[in-house]
Amino acid sequence: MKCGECEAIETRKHLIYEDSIVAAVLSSKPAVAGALEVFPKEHHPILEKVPDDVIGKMFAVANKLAAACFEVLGAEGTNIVIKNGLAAGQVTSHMKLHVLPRTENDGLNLQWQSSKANEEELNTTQLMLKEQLEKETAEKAPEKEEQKKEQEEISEESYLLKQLERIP
Amino acid sequence: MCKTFIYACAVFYSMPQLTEEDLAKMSPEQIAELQKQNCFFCQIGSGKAQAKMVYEDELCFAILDINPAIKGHMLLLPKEHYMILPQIPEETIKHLGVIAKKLSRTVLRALGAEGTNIFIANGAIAGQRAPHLIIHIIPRTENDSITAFDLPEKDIREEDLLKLQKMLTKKLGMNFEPQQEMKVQKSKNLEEIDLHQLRKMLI
Repeated sequence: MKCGECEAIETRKHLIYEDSIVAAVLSSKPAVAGALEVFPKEHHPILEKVPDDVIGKMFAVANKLAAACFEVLGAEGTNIVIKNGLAAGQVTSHMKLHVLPRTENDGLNLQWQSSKANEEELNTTQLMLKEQLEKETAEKAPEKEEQKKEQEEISEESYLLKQLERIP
Repeated sequence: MCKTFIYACAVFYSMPQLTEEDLAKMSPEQIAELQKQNCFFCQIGSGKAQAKMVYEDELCFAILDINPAIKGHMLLLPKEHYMILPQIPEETIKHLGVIAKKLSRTVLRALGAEGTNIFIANGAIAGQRAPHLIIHIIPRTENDSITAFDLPEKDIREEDLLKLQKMLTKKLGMNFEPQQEMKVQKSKNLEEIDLHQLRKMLI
């Protein structure tokens, strides 16, 4: 069975925006009238699989669409929502971003119950997240060093080659 | 663009010393400057106020929400003071998207979350409470009690969808197909030149 989003790109059904990287459609089961969905043209199941430049483009397009909602649909506010993973409410196998034009009394309530966190728990969470971020940058760093080394080797090689060429 | 909306926001985010008339007289830059001075998140970004900082670079920073929906709830903010997304330069928006993805992955790995919600509210009606744009990154697990993102799925008539499609593509077409715009502008310029030449000839 074909993925609904991939099919929408092909059939152009309810398509409202398209460039070489992302596409956007009107939601056919909208939370509010004019609800839009932005997705990468290439099939990626979750946020983590989408390349950085594509994510950047998706956010930029979502912003343009939100601006259009203000002007064309008379929205008084907009929400941008990503549901990443089944536990977060994702229902399709194609990663997407929802743009919801909002008006007063539209019946939508996206508020969560918040509770005051205790200081100790905040500190532990902060530490865990920071450690993970450091680990990730450390994982990436050696790659860069390797690249540098390679580049150095290449420049050394070309230097050697040039020297060789000079020999009569 | 959406200038009146920005004014409305400025009024909403309570600057009691100012009336709507005062705000209307001020330029968007002046309003932004005034808000920056009163903005708690700008003070965090510049290190003047304390927060549980998780990530920081030259364009943005992420802190832990002290009133979280769930453990690990993060707030990602641009360092520069912007009230809503449409005010932010495109390059910064792209960067925010990339960092949101990075933090989402971090929270999945570090806290064993099974999913994440990324949430932006533009405007009070959309649930925005602070005068500084915030991207929420909310870790999710299968049986947590968060229901805020269970979006209703309503039925809509096909003809209404087609009407909306027409309205939006028309608007976006003007924005996103610069070639067409240029053609229109060119033809306008040509007309102007022709008129100019005609006038000259008449003199």
